[in-house]
Amino acid sequence: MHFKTYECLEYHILRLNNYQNLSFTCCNTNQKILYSQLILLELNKITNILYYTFLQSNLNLRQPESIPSTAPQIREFTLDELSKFNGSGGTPAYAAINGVVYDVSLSPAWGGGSHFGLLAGKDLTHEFAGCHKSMDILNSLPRVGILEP
Amino acid sequence: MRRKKSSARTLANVAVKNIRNSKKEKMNLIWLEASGCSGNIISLLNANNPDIVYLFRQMVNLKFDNSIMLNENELAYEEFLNTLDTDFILAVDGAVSTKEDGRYNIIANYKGKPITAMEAVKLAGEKAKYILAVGTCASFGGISAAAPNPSKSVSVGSLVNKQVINLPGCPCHPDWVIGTIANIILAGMPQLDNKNRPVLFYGTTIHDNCSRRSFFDNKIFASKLGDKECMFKLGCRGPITKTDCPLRNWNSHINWPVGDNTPCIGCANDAFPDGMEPFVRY
Repeated sequence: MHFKTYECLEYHILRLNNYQNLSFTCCNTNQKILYSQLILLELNKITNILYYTFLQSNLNLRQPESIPSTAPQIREFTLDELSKFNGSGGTPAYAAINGVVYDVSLSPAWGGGSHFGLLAGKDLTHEFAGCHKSMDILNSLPRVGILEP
Repeated sequence: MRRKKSSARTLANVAVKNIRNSKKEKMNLIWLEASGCSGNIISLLNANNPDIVYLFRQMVNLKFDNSIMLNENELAYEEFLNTLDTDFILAVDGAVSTKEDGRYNIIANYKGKPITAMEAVKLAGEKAKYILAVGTCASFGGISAAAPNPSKSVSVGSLVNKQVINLPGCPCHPDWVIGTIANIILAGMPQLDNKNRPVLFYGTTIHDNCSRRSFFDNKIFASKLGDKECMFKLGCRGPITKTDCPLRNWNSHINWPVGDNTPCIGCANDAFPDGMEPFVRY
């Protein structure tokens, strides 16, 4: 197999593994649904790579289905990009919890992009777990994307 | 809404009527200042309609208050000790410092022995009929207990084993204190919420009564101090603070922070001040 293909496959398999782990550890059903959709996307990509890689050989692989159009257009954030959305100067306030990025700009407890001493634009998984017992309150927050795994 | 402004006065009037008809006895009041800034006694002295003359003449007998009583030195502390055996309301102003057995806050010297605030609060707390924690420091630790809390100040509720009525606010509005005392005289313990604050004054958030609420609902926000729109994006803590400031107003019912074009800093919140920072975010 070509080395580049191998790298590509490895990359996507790692991402798939990551989503599987996150889906397993989170208790929020909305997040689980999101992760299962992302897993489906990754599987599709991997199948595509394998199909076109082995197109050269005469293996009789089934042509992969095209990626469904109902797949979510998920925006990915790096930690750097996320830090720009900290609520200051009129920018929206985003916070990442458990890999999912939420828009907290209009959440009543987030006046001025700050919440009980915490500022937006960060990964606040640890702080959230240390204060809130259940993840149900995240259900009402609009989701804008995921953290790049 | 009109009723809200005069709820303390109405309660106080009925309480006094009952006292006059000898239906209710005039209770004693001990006002103990611990590790505070004296802001709450100053706020109480600024009470208007009902004012403190009304409070001290008609409603309660003030037995001890280090700021305004006549007696000094050991005579003053003896007044305190003598009141302990009667029916009294204990009002604590300021958090209680507990470092080195409370020796960072000495409130009296009696018979050669320094008396710490911690000792006095515990002593009076055991015997008081009702305990009021006046101000955010006494109720939740507040500014006295802000990080890193070198004096190891704690709230009154965590020091005494009895039910404490928390009256947070920085300072506490005089109406809230006098209204709660009137409630106690008339009907005993007021209805308290899950943080031991009287629901009568701390039942709704500022946000629900704010004059700029329609700006928030229509997502029109101020971008800098001085704008007339909703100051939520500048860090206003109205949505998470439970007091009736917009209705009652401060300084003889004249105005309140948002009405004076500055955002609410959540001074009556249990996380004030560390959890309410930054007060203004640009």
